[in-house]
Amino acid sequence: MAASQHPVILFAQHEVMPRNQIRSVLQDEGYDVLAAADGSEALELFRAHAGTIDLLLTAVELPAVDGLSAYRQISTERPNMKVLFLSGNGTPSALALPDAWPTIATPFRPDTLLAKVTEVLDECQPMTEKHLNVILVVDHDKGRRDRTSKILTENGYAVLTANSVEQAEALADTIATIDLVISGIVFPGHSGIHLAEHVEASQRKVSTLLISHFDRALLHKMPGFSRQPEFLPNPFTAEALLTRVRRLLDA
Amino acid sequence: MTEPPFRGALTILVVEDEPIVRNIIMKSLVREDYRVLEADSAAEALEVSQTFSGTIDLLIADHTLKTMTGRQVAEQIRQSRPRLKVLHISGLSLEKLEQDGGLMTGAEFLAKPFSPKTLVKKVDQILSKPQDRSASGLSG
Repeated sequence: MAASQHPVILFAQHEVMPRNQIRSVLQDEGYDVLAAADGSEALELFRAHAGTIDLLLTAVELPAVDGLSAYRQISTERPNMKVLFLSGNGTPSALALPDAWPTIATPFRPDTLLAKVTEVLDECQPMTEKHLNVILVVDHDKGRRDRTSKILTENGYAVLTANSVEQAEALADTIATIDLVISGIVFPGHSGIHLAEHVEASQRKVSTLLISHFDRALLHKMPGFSRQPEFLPNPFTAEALLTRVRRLLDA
Repeated sequence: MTEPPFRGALTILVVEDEPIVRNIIMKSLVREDYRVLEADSAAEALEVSQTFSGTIDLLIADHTLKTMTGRQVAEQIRQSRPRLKVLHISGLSLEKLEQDGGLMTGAEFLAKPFSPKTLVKKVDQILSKPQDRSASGLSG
């Protein structure tokens, strides 16, 4: 296939009319567009056109393979691939993306999209897998959950939040790639230790950081606690949280 | 001699569940200035037909979709868009297609694999033709 004169955008969006509308806007501007209806189609198109694609424009929530996981896979095969995430519609409401990630909130005007695409193509550095960490925060205390999420997103992590172990287990299915679970231990219903074991059992390479205001000696009596590698006493500072997060993610 | 169609005024809906093939078809037609809508399944094609407010001049439908045949999709869309022209595409032979439900009356057929040039020539031919009576729903 001859090299294209125009930048090539691989665009993944599950909803058919937005997919057609956005594709049309990009094509009218002169971009070559490859459109995928889900993450697995995006990966198939990427592999068929590997050397020609300049940008992945993707919704986060997609059937089969979500947009984050698709980009992580693509960036391991093509490290200089740039990305622009569509947030808002098509993004799990419990997912917060960091400000540092190239993102455009939907709905948007065509000229806003085109300006953002130009900005990402011309100015943004490609992200690496190291910069694409997703953390699942489970805490029944809304104030503390929001504070933890804020600390993490401000430091470049994408954060999924849940208020119970049951909700966390359901949410974990929306994003295939979760790198770290930060969880309280004592919940009504299942414990945070149960969650850690559940996520580990899903064959994902995932670390766990347990947080609790209970005394560590007391927690050691809980089944499974001693198997968890990291514990953060509550209350905690942002620095203490980030130190443990980095240690676990770098391990 | 038939006049070539004014492509920029014509809209084509492509339903094809193979993403690589779908994108090749889309690119071939967009490059020739056709307005093109895409669908990756029968359900998406029906949704596009229901949602898109403009005229759809041609449906290009792969025969073997996951939940319906291309003919079934075409017949459903034709109910609300009686002037729709239809081009069936398939890797199956016409003989096999006849055994598997066949083509819609009045529809055209293009065997896969085809080149972009062959596709565009076929689409130009179909869209240059005057409306077929059976395709317009006038023949009952």
